[in-house]
Amino acid sequence: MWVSPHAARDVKTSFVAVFGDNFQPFQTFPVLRRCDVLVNHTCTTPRRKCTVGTFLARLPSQSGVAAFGGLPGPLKDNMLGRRSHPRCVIPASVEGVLCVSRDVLVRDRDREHVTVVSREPGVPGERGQLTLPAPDAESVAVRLSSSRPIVIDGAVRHVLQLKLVVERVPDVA
Amino acid sequence: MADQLAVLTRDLPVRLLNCSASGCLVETSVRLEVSTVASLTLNVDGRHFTDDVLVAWCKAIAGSDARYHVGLRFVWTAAATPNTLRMMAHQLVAAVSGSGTDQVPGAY
Repeated sequence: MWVSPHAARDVKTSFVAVFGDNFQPFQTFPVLRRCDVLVNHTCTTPRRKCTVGTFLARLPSQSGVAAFGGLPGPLKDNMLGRRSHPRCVIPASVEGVLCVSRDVLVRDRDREHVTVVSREPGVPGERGQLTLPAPDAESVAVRLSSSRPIVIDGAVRHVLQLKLVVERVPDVA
Repeated sequence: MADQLAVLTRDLPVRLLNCSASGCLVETSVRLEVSTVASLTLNVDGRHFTDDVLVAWCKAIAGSDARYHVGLRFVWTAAATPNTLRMMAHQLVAAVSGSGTDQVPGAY
């Protein structure tokens, strides 16, 4: 007999919709308590990816991040394809930073700006770090001012105008 | 002045959507090329977890303005230390595997 986990675990809403790779940010999820997470077991079949089980799990710790569910016995042998590990949906918003590095050529440089040539375009306003090789090895914080394409030796490249970001030291009273 | 080679590192803010022992799904505002290698740092309850990741896929979110779902796979370039995402995932899997789970209807 199935017992509603909502009643057992004090979940505020009563609607769950989780689909393997088609997870969308606009789906409705139960409002979970801080120690609960949704554990989503999926597998890959030759024709389509399917969700084979969604579970509510209780975090043993007080962390608001996540927990992972162990597979029920019968499902352990059904995990095929690339998705071979149980995954969990993060109910709380966990923010982070993805640092992506790329090689650039420094064309011009002054006290406030650096002009570089990159294979990929940039988005004005993006922040990052520019690291120069030795002997001038230094890493400076920059913000992208502009990005425009050019053709160099028959290949499309992008000229990025970077503004040096000076981190101000707070005044000591 | 000859062109000088340098490395430009972009700091892209992301939001973690789900996670497993082999990778995670994040949402970001920038389209990323498949096979891009990056470093992912998450702030969890004041602790920072970092790991090298590989972009496995990137899809635009339907109906949204320049938002993308990015599937990231952990890259084992070094052993998993306590402050890595791999170690955090491993510990959580081990912790929950020992406890019971309740099935939610409508999941199939």
